Amino acid sequence: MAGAVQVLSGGPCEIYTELVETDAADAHARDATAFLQKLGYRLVQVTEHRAPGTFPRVFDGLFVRS
Amino acid sequence: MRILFVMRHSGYVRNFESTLRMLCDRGHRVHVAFQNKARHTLLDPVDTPRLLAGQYSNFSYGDIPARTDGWGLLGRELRLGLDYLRYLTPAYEDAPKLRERATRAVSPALLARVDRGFAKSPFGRRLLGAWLRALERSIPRAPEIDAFMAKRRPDVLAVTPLIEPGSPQSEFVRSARALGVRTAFCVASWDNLTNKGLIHGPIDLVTVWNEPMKREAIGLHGIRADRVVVTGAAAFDHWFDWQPSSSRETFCARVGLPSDRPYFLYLCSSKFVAPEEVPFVRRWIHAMRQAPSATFRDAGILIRPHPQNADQWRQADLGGLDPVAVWPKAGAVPVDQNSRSDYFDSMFHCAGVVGVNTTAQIETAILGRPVFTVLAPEFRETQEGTLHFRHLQQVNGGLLHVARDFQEHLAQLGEALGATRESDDRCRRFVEAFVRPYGMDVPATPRLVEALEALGREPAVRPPRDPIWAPIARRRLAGRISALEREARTVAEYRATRLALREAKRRAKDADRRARAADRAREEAEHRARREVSDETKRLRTLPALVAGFSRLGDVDRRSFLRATFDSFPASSYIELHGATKPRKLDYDGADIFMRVMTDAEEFRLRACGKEPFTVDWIHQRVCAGDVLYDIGANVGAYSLVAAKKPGGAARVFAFEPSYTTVATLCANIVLNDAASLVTPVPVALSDTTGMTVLGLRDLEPGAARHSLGTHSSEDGPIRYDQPVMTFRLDDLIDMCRLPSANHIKLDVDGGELAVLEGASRALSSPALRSVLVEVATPLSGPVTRVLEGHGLRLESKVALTTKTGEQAVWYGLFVRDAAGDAAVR
Repeated sequence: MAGAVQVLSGGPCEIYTELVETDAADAHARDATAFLQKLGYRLVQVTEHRAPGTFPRVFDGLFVRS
Repeated sequence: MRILFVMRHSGYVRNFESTLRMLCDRGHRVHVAFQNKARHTLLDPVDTPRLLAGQYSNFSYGDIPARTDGWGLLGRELRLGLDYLRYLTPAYEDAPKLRERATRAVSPALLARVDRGFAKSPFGRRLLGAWLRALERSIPRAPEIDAFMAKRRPDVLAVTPLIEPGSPQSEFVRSARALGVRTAFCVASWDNLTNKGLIHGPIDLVTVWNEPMKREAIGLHGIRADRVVVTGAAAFDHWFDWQPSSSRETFCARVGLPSDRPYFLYLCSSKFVAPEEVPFVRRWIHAMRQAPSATFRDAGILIRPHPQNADQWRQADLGGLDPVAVWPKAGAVPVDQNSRSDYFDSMFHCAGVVGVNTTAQIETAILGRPVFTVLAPEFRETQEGTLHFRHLQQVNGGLLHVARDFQEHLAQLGEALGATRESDDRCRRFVEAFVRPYGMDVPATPRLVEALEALGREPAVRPPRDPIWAPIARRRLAGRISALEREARTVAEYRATRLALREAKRRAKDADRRARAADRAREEAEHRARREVSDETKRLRTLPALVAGFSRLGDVDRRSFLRATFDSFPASSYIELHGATKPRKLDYDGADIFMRVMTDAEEFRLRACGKEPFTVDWIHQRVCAGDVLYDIGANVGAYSLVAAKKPGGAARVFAFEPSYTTVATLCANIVLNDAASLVTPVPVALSDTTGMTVLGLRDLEPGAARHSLGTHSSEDGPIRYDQPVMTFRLDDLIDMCRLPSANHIKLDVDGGELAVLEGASRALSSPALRSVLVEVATPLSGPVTRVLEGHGLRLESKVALTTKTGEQAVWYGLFVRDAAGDAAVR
């Protein structure tokens, strides 16, 4: 996503992305969410692949920008 | 100061974590002793005592011996009797469920006395109570607990919850006081003084949250007013500092609720309060969905199961009531960072909270969210039939919006949402009185710590003497002691036998289940295989039937069909199948180069060196070790691999090939020859523009040629498939991907040569480029020669291949840069 800032900032867009947290300390998903939020996206839907609280946590996030 | 804190189990640590930390921070030596040896994994999932021990050198924890002798059993029996009598007083007139719970624990003999004997009247019960207390005081202390206290020698003994039925912790208090140790009962929760047992025997300090609880300690437990200290609720101190960890949108998305509308949070209650809560919640949501206001009809509903009563939610059917989320479905005790954040956020972002009777309603009040309840008939005994529920109704104007039915409830919801300020005030008033009685900004933990420190500074307790009737009473009680010990042995044996039987049954059942599952799986596999083979082999009678049947099948059935078909072949067919794809050798003498061959076209490529010996000669003579070769139109990579494997040193090759079927074989051949570090496949088309176009494939077989870029027709035959491709000007691609400059180019693109050269002006003008070998249709030889000569390349040699009829079909030209330039570059 860091290589696609122009595309992501270019216009209304939806991003459906799978994110993974290897453990509670893994900031990857939070960083990705924060990155997109900086570009004006809102996380509107989360689909967990596994039971909440289990790691690695894998989920699909739908980010939208109007 | 040495502080010994006895807790029933490790789950109580979460109520006093801030207190323990502050005591340690102030330099006191703190030892926590648990009655239950096993850690409470549900209420203490993160093993907080271990964490504290890791952080504080002056903190330790362990077990405390339990009293198991006959005197201990008798003491428990007597205290259970006293606890039971409490529920017969007027204060518990409307608390049948609490009384019924106490009845279950009391001895049948006592129960008979109360039901039919002299204790049937209030006066008789008072006499009976005095008698039980006198007997309880005559019980000797437990030697093992005395020894434990003597060894620890604390300045202060704190206990919690003390009031559990039969109060085994009374034994610890007695032993401590006998050593002169000051004792404190730190009340853990808001229902402890009304819902459980009594405080038995003297105690030096009782710490409570607030004035109403102080009145309970005095009025219901007979504690002297100067011995009760109001501290506030230390267990909730952290709630005042927290902030949400996520935005409302993020949180809603996480739990699966729409974020464009408010949601209401339903907080479930404990098993005692609401053993079957799902039907009530279903009725409540149904009422919401029938409401006249769209706010309630469409509102999100978040249900948070109680962690100790969550099983009922696993299979709960809430179909047709969406948007509803049950989260977390298994319940969660908010003790670590993540679970606390989840818990907090669920309350923070909600429009209001609904529940039967639970501590979480107090936590919600701290956040200022309105709290509602409906007086349901099925929960009458655990709402209005409990004393602590009245705190939520009455303290400082009351926290709860209490409704008699759903209609009134919906009206209250509507009013509260429209009057946020009133709700805020109601919550604030309640919290000021019940949670932070010294002011919203005054935390409770320091007050509790100071109370314990003050107790530690008091003079040692004068050890109480045994009552004068104790020796006589003990002799009279000897028979009962023996009976209780016999009973206990019988119960223990029965329990051990039952446990052993249960364990044996469980093991047998597990073994049986595993065996059945294995049998079933085997039978199913055999049956499936038989059925698949027999069904499909029937269709294999004729080839036309096979083809027709196959075309009618869906994807999944096709795979099953093929598997069944192959399963019906003899095993040797697999060998033949593998033999067909076994790599074969390229006709190159300089090294062993293997190629994947599955099609006629790929087989044709095996003879690439014999077909174009001048190309191999060019590679041998011109392409030096380390040179960069662009193989444009690489097909399955025969010449790329010759350049990479030739004797005398490998070249670095970029193999350009756009046909996706051929690219797959090109990549396979790179793998087969371990040439990944030397040959890079570039699966794009080259042309005079950078953009998207189509590659008209004349043949879908890997290794096929004479495709056509950007057009839908081909002089070599009809186009079978238009493959979308990315096309690049070579100069653009070099810039974008920072490709190393080519020293040599082989160009064989079946008609697109001029377009490729048009897009490669800089590459062709580069002094690094020393030779270009071009294959073109003979009519294009002139224009191609002119373009290359325009970039300073000289036609050194040419080969013209003719057709069987003698017509010139293909022309190969080798262009080189003159020796001076060549030398200069090298």
